[in-house]
Amino acid sequence: MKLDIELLESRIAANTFISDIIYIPEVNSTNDYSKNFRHKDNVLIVTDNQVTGKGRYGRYWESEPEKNLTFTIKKNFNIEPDDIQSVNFFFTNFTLSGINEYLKSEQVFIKEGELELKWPNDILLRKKKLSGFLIESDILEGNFFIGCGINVNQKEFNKEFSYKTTSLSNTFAREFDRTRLLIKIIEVINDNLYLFENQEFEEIFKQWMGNFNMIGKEIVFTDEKNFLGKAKITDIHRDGGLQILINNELKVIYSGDIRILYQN
Amino acid sequence: MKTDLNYIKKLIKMLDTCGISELEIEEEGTKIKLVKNKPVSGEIPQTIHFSQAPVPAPIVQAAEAPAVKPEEKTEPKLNSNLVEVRSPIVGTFYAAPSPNADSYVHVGSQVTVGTVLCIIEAMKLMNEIESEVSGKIAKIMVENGQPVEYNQVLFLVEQS
Repeated sequence: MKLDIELLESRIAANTFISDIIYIPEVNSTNDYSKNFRHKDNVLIVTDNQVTGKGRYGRYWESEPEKNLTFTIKKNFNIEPDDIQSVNFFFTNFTLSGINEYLKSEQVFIKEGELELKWPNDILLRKKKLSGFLIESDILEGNFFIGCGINVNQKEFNKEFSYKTTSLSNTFAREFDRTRLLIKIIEVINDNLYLFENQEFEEIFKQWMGNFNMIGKEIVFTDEKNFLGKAKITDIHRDGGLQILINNELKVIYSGDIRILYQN
Repeated sequence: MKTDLNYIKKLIKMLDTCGISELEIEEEGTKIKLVKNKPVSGEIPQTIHFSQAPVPAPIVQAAEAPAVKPEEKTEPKLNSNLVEVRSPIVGTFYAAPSPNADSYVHVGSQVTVGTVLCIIEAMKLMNEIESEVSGKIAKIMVENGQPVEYNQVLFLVEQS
């Protein structure tokens, strides 16, 4: 089933910070398309079929047509480079809250911690990836293109990723209404935007940390040069740095991938 | 008057990027006076610092990180036409938008104000770094995939 754009318009464009909703039935990447709106603020770009979704640094984000949510929010933030990661912390954390609120409204209740954040900016559901973000910006102009993908009703995933990927329907064995999920996410983001307006970056970080349960966890870390190392997460810094203990040394990393080593 | 740090940072940035050398603001009994460093030789330095902030970034470095930050090192005197492009954040330098794509710029590439020069990634937030001047890329100071520090020089641009 396609997204209900009329419902989106009436619930989002009328009542939240989003001033324009751009619906495209099919697009290569909502983030790339959103660059056409560089000079506009508060635009939601959403598609039913993202053909070549972008993951981090050229990676592919797999999504079947009309099954998932793939959207980009174009928003301007006038913030100092030191606080730039607040955008990341804010959107990942409140998208998680939005998913949780939506599930509650559908009478689906999960235990605390089952929806959680994974560094750098994924949302996990029962330890599997449910959602990923790709945020692009030009710091000087203050343009942010916040791309988000959420697996909703897709059941099959590429074999390579299937063991660590999930969707709402795979987890709860039923279909969900993507339009209402998106409305709830935008509403929750809208209700918390005052944190940005008041520059409450410490509070944004605190709330993000509240959904990050991985301090003390053993991980395998992969950096840009494909170095593999076993490490332990010891802290997260407000500039987004992940502090890890690796070979008895503390290191702070800013990019790369981590895989959590679960004990079970 | 807003005397918070961000406001002062903005004033310093403004002073740094425009032609004036002194700025004094007085409002509601609060006075802020900013004066650019006067060069010893009497010559006005041509170096423009990209997005330079007045305070050191509060970044806790890895244990093996050098005690001296890159921006504190004595840097060689620059050709007066050369403009440094510095990293506004800590992250990873990417010369191209994706691994198989062409680099945004090469040595010798002509750039104008707003030309994207590279991406600095931190925590999967991809920041496009744009040129603030028109000219030619004279030198690329970092390699693709290399971690960069706050304020580290990324490019030298020969201003036209």
